Amino acid sequence: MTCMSTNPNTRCTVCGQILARTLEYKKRYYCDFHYGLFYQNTRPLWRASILTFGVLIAMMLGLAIGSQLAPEHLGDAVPPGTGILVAILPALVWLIALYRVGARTQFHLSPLPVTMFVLGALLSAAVTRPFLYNIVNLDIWLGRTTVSNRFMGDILLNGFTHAFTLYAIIRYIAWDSPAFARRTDGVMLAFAASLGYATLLNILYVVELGGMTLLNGGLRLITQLCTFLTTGLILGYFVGYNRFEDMPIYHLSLGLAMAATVNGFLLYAGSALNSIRLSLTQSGFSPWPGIALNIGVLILTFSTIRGLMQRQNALTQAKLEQIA
Amino acid sequence: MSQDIWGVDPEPTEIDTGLTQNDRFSAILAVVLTVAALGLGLLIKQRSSTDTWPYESRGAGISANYPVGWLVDERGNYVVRMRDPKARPFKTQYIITIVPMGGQTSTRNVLDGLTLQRSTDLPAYRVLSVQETNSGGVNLTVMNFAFVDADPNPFIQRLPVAVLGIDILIRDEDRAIIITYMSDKQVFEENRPSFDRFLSSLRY
Repeated sequence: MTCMSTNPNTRCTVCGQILARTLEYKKRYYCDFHYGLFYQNTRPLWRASILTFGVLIAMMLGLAIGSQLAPEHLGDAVPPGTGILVAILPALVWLIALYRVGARTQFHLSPLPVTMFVLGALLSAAVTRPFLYNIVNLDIWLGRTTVSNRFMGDILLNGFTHAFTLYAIIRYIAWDSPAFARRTDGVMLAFAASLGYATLLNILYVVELGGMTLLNGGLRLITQLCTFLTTGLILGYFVGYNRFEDMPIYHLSLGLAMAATVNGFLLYAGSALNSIRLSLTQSGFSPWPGIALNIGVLILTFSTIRGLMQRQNALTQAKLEQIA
Repeated sequence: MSQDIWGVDPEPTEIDTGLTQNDRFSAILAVVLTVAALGLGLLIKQRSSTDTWPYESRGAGISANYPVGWLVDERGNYVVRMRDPKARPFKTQYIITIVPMGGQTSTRNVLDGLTLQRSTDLPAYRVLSVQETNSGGVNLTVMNFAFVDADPNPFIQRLPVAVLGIDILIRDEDRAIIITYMSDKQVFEENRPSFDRFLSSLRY
């Protein structure tokens, strides 16, 4: 498991320095510093994320109460500024909390999460959105086609496009960065990219509509955000794992397929579940089932990935200590 | 000499970057998987866009295949009207009408009759062009028109919609078969291939 490399020009997987003394773990080579670092925990990630989930739940409740208290003369529509605030607030909370917790616990964080956030936002606006809505005309087709086609279209077209864009950001840009030094950094960077990605998609959605309804529109933005955060968490887990261990060739593709399927399923369920029974007291639409499923899956995915990461890191540490 | 100037090693050294063969293949596999998924998704989209149901009117001796999910209405002064129930705000529609044509009646008379009738029924109705054409050995007269679809209820809060339409007139012995296609201007060209498939499936 751990041995000295025979190649005198071997570089560290993380920092890329040519190594005089090479340490190996599952076909990845490390310098002394990064050998002791890659299985460490990224503590600010978990705290900032839990705080952000709390803010999301508070925003849900705030929107529900706000829609009840809003003056009736406003009607249902609220100005775009409110929608943009709902779209931006979770991202601001996460980024600020991440660096604040990092500073407080003296945990050094590079600017790479911010870079991933910006890249995610730019790619969603410049690549994914034009491709899906201007070239493929996906929204028009999904609105007209059958339920089974909508389900398949959401997974194969929506899911894979979104998941691959996020995967590409992490795999082709963050992968070679020395700041990607821990397994959990993979989750953090994918989470940041997906946060930027969803935030700009939501802002563009609000701007395009020129406003939105406080409850239904606001909850739709949160639902969409939860979908992309879940996708980012799954991708981050697989990329973070693969970065520091040589895995079988299907490993990343499995993660990509899983992320795309979950993304497509949540996008589908986020709208399909909101169609409820029409009656004298019900309008046939409720924003709650979709958001409940999305936030439930997000929290479940987060807990699972956090548990798996911590377990794997603990096992790796124990193995390395045993060898030492 | 040049090696000394540029500081290049005499022999290239093999540097282990840490990327294994599995890494390289997995990067390719991820791209292949995505392309395959998108291809399959586009195939499903393409197939579902062309999915049709058959329509037959024994009385008029007409049959055609119309898009799946559209609503069929035979209660007006036409043979059939097929409408897309999900189109907003104007419902994309195909209408088949049959007009008797005696020996003295020309296609121009029939189209003028349509124009007069629509100019009273439809706001801002305008004929844009009329042209003779031949498709698959059949002589067709094509009339392009436009009008504004505005809800008569003044309390409905929506902008009027510019609608584009095409009448295709086929002379069939002593009758004229008029196939009309109308759609919101914004999606007129997008929906046109579907209408072309409908037209090519028409039997009379």
